[in-house]
Amino acid sequence: MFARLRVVILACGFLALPVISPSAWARVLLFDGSLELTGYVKEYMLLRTRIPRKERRFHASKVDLSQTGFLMEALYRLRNDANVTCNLFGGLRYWYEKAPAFDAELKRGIPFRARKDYVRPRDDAHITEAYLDVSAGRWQVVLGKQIVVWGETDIVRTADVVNPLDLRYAVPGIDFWEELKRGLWMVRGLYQSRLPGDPLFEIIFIPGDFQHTELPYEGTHWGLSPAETSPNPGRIFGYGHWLLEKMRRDSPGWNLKKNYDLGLRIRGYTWNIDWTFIYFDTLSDTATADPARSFNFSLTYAAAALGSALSGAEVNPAFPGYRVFRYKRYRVFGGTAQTVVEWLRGSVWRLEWFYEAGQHFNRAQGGQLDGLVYDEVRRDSYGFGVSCSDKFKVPYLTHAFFSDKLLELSVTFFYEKILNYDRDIVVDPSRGHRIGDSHASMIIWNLIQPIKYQIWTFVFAGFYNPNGMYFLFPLVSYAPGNHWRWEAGAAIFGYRSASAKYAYHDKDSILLRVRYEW
Amino acid sequence: MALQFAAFCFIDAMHTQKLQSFFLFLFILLNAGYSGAEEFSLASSCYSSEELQQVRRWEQRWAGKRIDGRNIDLVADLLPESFVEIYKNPATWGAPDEGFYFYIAPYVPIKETPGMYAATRTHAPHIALEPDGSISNYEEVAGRPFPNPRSGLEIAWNFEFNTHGDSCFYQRTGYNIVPARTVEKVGDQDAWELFWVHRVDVDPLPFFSDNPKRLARSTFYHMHSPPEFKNTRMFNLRYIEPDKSDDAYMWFSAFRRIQRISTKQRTDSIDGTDLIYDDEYGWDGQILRNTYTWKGTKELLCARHTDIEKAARTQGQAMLNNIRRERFKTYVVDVYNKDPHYIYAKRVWYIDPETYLILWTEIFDDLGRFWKCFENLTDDVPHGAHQTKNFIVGSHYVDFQRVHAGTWRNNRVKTGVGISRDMFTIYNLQKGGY
Repeated sequence: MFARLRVVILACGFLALPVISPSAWARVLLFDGSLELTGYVKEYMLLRTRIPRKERRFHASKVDLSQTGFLMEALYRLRNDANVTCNLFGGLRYWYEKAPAFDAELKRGIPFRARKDYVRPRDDAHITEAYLDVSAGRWQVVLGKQIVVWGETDIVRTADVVNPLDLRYAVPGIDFWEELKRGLWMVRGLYQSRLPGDPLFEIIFIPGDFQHTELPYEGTHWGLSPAETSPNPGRIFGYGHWLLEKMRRDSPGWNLKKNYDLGLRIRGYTWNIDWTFIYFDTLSDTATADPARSFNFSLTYAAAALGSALSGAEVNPAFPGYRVFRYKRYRVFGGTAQTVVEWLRGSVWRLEWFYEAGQHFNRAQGGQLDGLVYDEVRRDSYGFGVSCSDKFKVPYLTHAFFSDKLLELSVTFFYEKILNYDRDIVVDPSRGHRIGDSHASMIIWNLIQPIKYQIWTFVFAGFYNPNGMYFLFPLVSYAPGNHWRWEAGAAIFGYRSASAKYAYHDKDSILLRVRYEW
Repeated sequence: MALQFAAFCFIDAMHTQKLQSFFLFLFILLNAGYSGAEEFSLASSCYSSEELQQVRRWEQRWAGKRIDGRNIDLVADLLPESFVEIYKNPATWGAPDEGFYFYIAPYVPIKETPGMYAATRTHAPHIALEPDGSISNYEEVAGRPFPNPRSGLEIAWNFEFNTHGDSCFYQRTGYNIVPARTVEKVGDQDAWELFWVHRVDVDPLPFFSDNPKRLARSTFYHMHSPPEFKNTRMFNLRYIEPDKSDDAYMWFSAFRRIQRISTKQRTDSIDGTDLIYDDEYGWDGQILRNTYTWKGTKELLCARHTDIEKAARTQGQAMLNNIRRERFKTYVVDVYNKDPHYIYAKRVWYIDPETYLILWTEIFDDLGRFWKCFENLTDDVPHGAHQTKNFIVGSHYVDFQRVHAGTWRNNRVKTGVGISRDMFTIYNLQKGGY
């Protein structure tokens, strides 16, 4: 009864948003147009369609995520003439995750420390970007917190290596990259040369900022369930949290001496191909465990778990002060190419490739993610994605229902391989490897069909991995005017083999999202 | 030219109809003499002097009159039939309480820029059509290639060689309208256009010699709204080679990356509007993709001197009110695409013989049924090198089968503006990407 009431209250919050009346259709311009403000307010909800039996004790309702958030971006033009442009750009955001407030059981499943970080932004997460951008002639220098995109393909990141991701609330394919990426404080310089092919040189130097990939917290929608990773659920947080929280704590943060990242990119145009070459020397966004400390660290948790099981009391172990996880340096070489193939209906073809040199991996028995780490090794890997995008007329439907707007389809084939692989190497599950496989491949698609003058849009995104993992995401969007966008979709995850279990395999959900944009 | 304009304004401002008629007659006589004596013989007026006298007599009765649903029948033969129905059925098309209305204005001849005259004088005598319909030395010539056209194709080439003052800028507000529900989506964008060949007004003439990509025309768009397109920037490159598709690059702010986009599918509708990519200006594609049949002339009421600032509209309104249309003799050209599966069976252009801008377009679907009607509203806008250049300042796009419409207002329109060629580069796209 109360669970239903909570859903009703949340739904009312959802419906209350349209009370804000649209006052203008355009961006907000102030100070004679020098200051331009854009942004959105959004309400975002995920309803789990199938909660496994053992996890139900941590859910009083199916509402797993209910977030109210806003983003305000400001562009201030300090100087804009033929010779020099000088602009300030900043993005400010805030969110409040309401689901734990409404659902006491959900709240109980999220470890206390994680909950504090989860419900609202912490540290400088309020600031998405903040930089000064100066251009003069062929030079451009950008100073400050930035999000840089070097890739071309959808859902998987191949050459797009600069900014780490925040996967606590959103996942690729469902949300825009701009909402997933964590800005980094950096210096970025660009130079447009007059050499053949008009190469554009870009250099990035990140002098000390380090952000790790934010993985979802235990007990939250995208996170592991304590029912799965805790030996005594409800009395001790799960082993997953024990590992992930320690990874967060061991993240190096600001360090001007050791944390430098250096990136180079050249962009050019030759034989009707737009190409880039990239080089990035960086600390890995994901950690590897120190084999010498990993056993003791695990033992600490095991002891606490045993105590909890024997006493039946709530026992949460204290995190040790020593460093267990390390974010090691590696280098990425890569590139992209894109062209239009006239004789193939004018379709756009994109290629993206990388070669990772010296990426660190752990070794554990059988390559199990939660296995006992006994070694750390360096391995090279390579990968590529080839994508084709085209537009199609659907007989009868395009004219009758879609206002002559063609169907847009993009299909990407992605492949990657770890060299000198052995079965004990632990691979980040987001890379799509089956345990024991040195390689992973994926077919990724994105289909967009605007309907009725783009007031409605149907999107069908997803991927299929030949090892049986798949992700399907149909979405319908309704944007009747200049500000409101209503979206409803279903995120469906699956797998066929226990050795290729998709991390989100039990996260099937209905997505409801409404945004007021300006 | 300035004197002529001032004289016309003086006449137009007169309140007494008899006085107005007298001075108008005087003005015509003077104007005829001025045109013939000083200018190269482009079409300085679409009317012969006898025809013009008839028009002026008609204007004595009609100039200044407000036309709306109650009296539209009296001028119905001077408007596309479809648009007459809009005036008669305002509720269907999202009209405000007062309905739709416009005013009749006297015909004012439009003179081309001195550059256009000079280039025509230089190049036109030497221009010839190849057997495939193309123009020999296409990229090296400028001006009006066929000052006295004899076929639909020659008219089409004249349209192609109107370089909009060699470059132009406008800030466009576009309303995409569902009139029955008076619901609309508003787009706001800045646009720059640069011609690399056929240049007549701004140095270098007649083409940029440093043109390694062999561009004919480039356009840059900076979109500000609707919000999903905020700060989206793109440019389009059209090549001299007639069989080469355009290239286009886009910075889409939500993705924060530059992507090459396909331009091959020219019949795709543009962002929920009634337009396809070929529709801008009445035709936005390679000339030789169509065949053309000149059907003669037709007098229509055309908005050739539109003060777009004074145009009035409320939300959901399919057509601008308070505009002025003048009686004008257009060239009628039937346009058939060579692709048998093309989305339109036929376009009918009503083209301005003084400027070679397409003023009205009627469109028929693949079953031959009437489908859409577009109107371009023009005005004499500032030109960087000369006083003015007649150019498009607004448009009406109406889909009569789906009862859907669009209206554009082009504000701050300038032609002959200085545009750096570096604007149409990846670097420039990157620079403004926020």
